[in-house]
Amino acid sequence: MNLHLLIATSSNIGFDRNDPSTIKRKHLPVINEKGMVLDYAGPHENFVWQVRSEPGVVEVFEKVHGTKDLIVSFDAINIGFHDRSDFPANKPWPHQDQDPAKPGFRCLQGLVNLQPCGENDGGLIVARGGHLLSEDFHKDMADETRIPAWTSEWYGFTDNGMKWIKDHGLEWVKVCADPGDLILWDSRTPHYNVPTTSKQDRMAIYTCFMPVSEVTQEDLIRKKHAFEGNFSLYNLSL
Amino acid sequence: MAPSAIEVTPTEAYNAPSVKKILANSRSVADIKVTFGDFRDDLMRDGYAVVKGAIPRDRADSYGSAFYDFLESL
Repeated sequence: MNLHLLIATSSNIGFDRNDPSTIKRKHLPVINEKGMVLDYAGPHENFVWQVRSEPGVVEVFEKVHGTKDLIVSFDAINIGFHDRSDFPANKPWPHQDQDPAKPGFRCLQGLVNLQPCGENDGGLIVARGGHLLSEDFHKDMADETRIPAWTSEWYGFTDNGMKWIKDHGLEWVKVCADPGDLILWDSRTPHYNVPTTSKQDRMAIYTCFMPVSEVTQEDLIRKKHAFEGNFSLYNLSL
Repeated sequence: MAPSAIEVTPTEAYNAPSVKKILANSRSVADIKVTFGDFRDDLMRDGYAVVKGAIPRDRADSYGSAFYDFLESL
């Protein structure tokens, strides 16, 4: 095997942050339409672990959960390029990250924002106050056909669901932030992310901690395998 | 001389009622009777919050640069 060929095919596929013409799928790792980088051990890159270890980040979760005994998630990292011409459309997928059958505040989700993120920049959008109406919503919408999901801990809002949100006076708010700000949300708050309409890339490190006391032995074994295999696992810190 | 008691540093923040307990009984903003004077008030009222400067700007910028380094390294 030609060593040069091996190196050429295993590294440097061509993305250059200073050359917008390289914002093409062929020059980049696989990034899904929502901007998630789920592979390449991205969630275990050194800088990602540094972000998760920042005292100002951990402290916030300690305050909310009322304990220092927390376990961290191995969530995805997210890049939303300003030029999306070579990527599939990022359509709205308003959702909650929580099983409607298990109500109450169960999971605090978070992301650390690493680029300027204003009104016209890509990022999180939430239905403000929707967490408090979640139980009422699911009572009213119990007969609505569910959007298929790979886990019961994900609930997608149908057109009827979106109408309920609007009829109950909830407003969709684009969340703005500066680099280094931590955005938090209750998993029940309806949310998704919007693509940028500016020249600004969007960058987010999803960060989530939950109390160790709420984790089962099975969860811990699964998590150990993910760590050793450099996989990512979704929220609820599992 | 041996100490007569072990000194324990109080952790006042963690003696406060937890967000989870407050939200467990809340169906509207009017049900939220406790205030913390920080991001937790926004979180309980709005379902989301922004914690400004959780990471100092210089380190946030270096992590942003490391993210691009990662994308360029593949």
